[in-house]
Amino acid sequence: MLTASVQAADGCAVARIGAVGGSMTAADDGRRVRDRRGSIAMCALVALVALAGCAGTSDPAAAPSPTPVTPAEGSVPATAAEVLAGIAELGLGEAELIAYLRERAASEGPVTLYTISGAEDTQAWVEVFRTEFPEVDLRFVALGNDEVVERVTAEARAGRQVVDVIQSTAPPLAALINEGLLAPHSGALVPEGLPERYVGTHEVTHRIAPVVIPRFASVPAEDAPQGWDDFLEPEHAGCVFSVAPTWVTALVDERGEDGAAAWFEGFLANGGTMAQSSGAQLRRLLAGEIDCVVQSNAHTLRRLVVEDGAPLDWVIPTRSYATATSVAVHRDTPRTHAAALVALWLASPSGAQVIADLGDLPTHPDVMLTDERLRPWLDPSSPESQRTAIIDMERSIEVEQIVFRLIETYVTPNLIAE
Amino acid sequence: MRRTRTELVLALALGALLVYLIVVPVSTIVWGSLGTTPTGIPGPRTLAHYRTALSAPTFVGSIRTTIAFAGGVTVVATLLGGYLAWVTERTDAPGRRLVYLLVLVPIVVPGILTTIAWILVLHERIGIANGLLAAIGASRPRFDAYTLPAMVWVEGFDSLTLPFLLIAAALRTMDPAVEEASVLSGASTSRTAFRITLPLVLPAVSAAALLVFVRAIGSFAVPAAMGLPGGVRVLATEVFLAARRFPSDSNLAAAYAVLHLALAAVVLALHQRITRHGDRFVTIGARVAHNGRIALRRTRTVHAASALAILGVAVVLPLVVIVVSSLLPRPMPPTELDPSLFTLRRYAWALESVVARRALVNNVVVGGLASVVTVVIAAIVAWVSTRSRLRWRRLLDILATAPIALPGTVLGLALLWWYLIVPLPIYATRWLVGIAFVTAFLPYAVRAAAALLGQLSPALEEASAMSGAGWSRTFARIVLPLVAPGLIAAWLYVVARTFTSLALPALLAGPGGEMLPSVVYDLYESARYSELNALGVLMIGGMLAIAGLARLSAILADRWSGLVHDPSTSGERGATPTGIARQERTAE
Repeated sequence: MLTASVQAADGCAVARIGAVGGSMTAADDGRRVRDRRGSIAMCALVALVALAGCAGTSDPAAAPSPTPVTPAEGSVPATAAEVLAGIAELGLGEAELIAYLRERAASEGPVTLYTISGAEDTQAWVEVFRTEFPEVDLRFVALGNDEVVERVTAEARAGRQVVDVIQSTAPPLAALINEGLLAPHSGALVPEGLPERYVGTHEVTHRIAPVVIPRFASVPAEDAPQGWDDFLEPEHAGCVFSVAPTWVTALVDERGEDGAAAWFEGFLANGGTMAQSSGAQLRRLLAGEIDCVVQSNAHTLRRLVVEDGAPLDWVIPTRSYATATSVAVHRDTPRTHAAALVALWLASPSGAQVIADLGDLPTHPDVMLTDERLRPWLDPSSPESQRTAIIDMERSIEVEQIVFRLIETYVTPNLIAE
Repeated sequence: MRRTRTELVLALALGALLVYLIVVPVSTIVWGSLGTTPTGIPGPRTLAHYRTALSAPTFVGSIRTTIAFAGGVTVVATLLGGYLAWVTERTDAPGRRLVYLLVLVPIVVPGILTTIAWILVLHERIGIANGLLAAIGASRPRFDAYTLPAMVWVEGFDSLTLPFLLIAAALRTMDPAVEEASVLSGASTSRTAFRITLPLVLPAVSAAALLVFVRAIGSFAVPAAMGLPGGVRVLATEVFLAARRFPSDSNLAAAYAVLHLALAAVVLALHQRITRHGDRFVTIGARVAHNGRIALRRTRTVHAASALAILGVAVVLPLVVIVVSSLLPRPMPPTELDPSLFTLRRYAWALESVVARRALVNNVVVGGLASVVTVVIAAIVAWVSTRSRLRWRRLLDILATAPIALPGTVLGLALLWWYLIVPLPIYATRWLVGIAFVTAFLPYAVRAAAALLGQLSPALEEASAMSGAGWSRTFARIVLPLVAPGLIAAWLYVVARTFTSLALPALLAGPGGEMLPSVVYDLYESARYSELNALGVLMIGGMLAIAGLARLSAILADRWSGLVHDPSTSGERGATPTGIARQERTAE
């Protein structure tokens, strides 16, 4: 009898095909041999499928490292947090720090980023990064907000970590901080000149997106809804909110749990609906399916207006908030220097310029925005900036449970998938 | 005795493989649904998630809607697919080749593109259909894209290929002499079709209908894009929302997935019961070499026009919308369409995009290899279940067909969790997507292979065995060459599905492992609809070109071998004693 068995050895599956209990001898006739060939072929197929798994190890992009972090210097502590703390203690300037990180990152192998940005957008800045740091092999997986939390958490619990650095908005990162999965950076990731408001304990914000209300260019700005309460008025009935946990956090931040719940009830009673994908809602708006969308994807909106000539414009609400996209290093990354380099570069003037070129709002004050209409928004003294709440990590963590309750009660049952 | 032992070894090896591919992930989901901790983490078991799912205010409604949706889709797809199969297989209506070509197109069109195209056609305010009605004086809109009937319409059209192929195969194997006898007795064409033809192929029709029903239960693109905005929620969208909720609750998502699976499994079990008896029925004419299409006479043109009209609406109309959308610089209302804005800029983008190129390479490599593995496994499963004398051989067939009841989201979650737990370095590699493809598309390949083998006389294999050839030699030298054209067609079908299957690559891809469906989803989420449509058109064109080349090579191979006589060109059927021509067209 022939068997095919698969066993794990040193992290790699080994397929073994063997003859067990058979009594085939040279005297057996040819037909029996041929019959057995068929069996062997089948068993080989089974083994082939098992070996396909082994083939995965030849894919350097995805193979999780089985070994714990190996610090570049023998005396440096092993955890990412301690490595980052050690780097911070060196007190290097930005240029020296980048040189220090890139020297050590080169030997750490491919570094993997989980990002909530789309694949096309991420690919654009990753290509610039690779040009600047050809010795660092940066790869990415584009995921949704919820998928980032799910996958990072699942990997950590299963001990199969692939991710090294995470780019997401505040609530998902807050959830990961609560799980203890992000390494505190101790200031190692903060580029020179980055305003304090964009620096958290575990993450550094490199991109922000204001909430905007797209409107057709032919509609005067004053006729568009201007703030939360306008969406409860009959003339703005049926508006679509592109839901992100961030804006629920903003609502709670401004009105508390009861006030936020009252707003939700009023919004739904006014025929409002909630959607996941702001991009999909912009398509519906442009196609004329809906008249009103509230969303924080200024980047997509700007692309549609500036590059595609869409007859749209936008207003920044009277009481606004911003979704901050931050970057953080995973607690268990064995590639701390490479991960830190990615995080630092994204928030630095070089990275910020690429972000701005892509049409987003970077947080570094040395970088000029490409879109003048959004420029005042980043100036701390401007009225737009004054009336805007940036949802930072600390606040997200504080109100996390309230936000979860509101999402469970009002968002999930009324969500449309697009 | 020797043969039985070979069969036993084959069956055991296949059984182990299928258990690993199918039972293990399903068990992972079931286990996860009972857990209080994320899958793979030890913790107490509970039924609380089922209680939560069953007591959700939307749950009962979503079950009812799911059944109504799947039932409606089944009726639309089976009626239309059956009618088209009858026209192409049993009548002398002109344009049958064109019907054959058009009816296969939905396989290669990503569902999300078709759905968006139909929204633009059926939308209450901006839709083309209501615009046309208004132009001829209708006082109010008659169509609304975000309703259950519209969902049934779109999914029904998108699903008609499957019943077409299954019913066409049954009609092809039917003995036409009984129809001729009916006609000679004075019965009309319609009376013959309903009183003679339909009862003969009823088991195949029922089986096709149940498969459509199962697929509709798992359908996602239409319920998500058309159902949710209109408040029409089905089980597939409940699973999706449970899986995508924030904060995530994977155990609750698993409970929804198991309930979804249970509903699909009941229908699938019914299907297995019907096909167990139906196979005997529909193979009546497998050995018959007979010439016989129903001469429609005056109604030839009517039926040809009807068939083409159905496909014009179901297939060509959404394709035209997709192509036009790909030429626009941005989404715009159909009523404001301005041809002067047409541009090929999006095609240039699609050809230059680094991500799209990487995804294409991944798709070709992983999808191509997975399709080969799928078809090879399917051929052997089909051989064991149709040829072996093992008492439990049908179990393999049932096992291999079971994944048809697994919605992509459920299978994706199951594999994600399983490969996080097991110490195999497959998680986050592109091979995980490959394994998912094999599991997901095995049922279709098995059904195609079983149909092919069902029409192949066992006498040939018996002759080979009597001449001293072993199983492997007989399988490789006799069986495979005879069913090769059909298996190539099955391979193409699986390849096409790997290019259009959205959920699996989106859930399972690792770094650098994007596939074209992931890119399609990314473009959809980023409001890059012109790029999305341009990429879609290129994908459709590429798949049709591959299918055309495969078809051409099959024809050339047939001519070279001189064995095959194509009945569609001569109007004759089964001109060869082994029925090879029928096999070729079965999987076409």
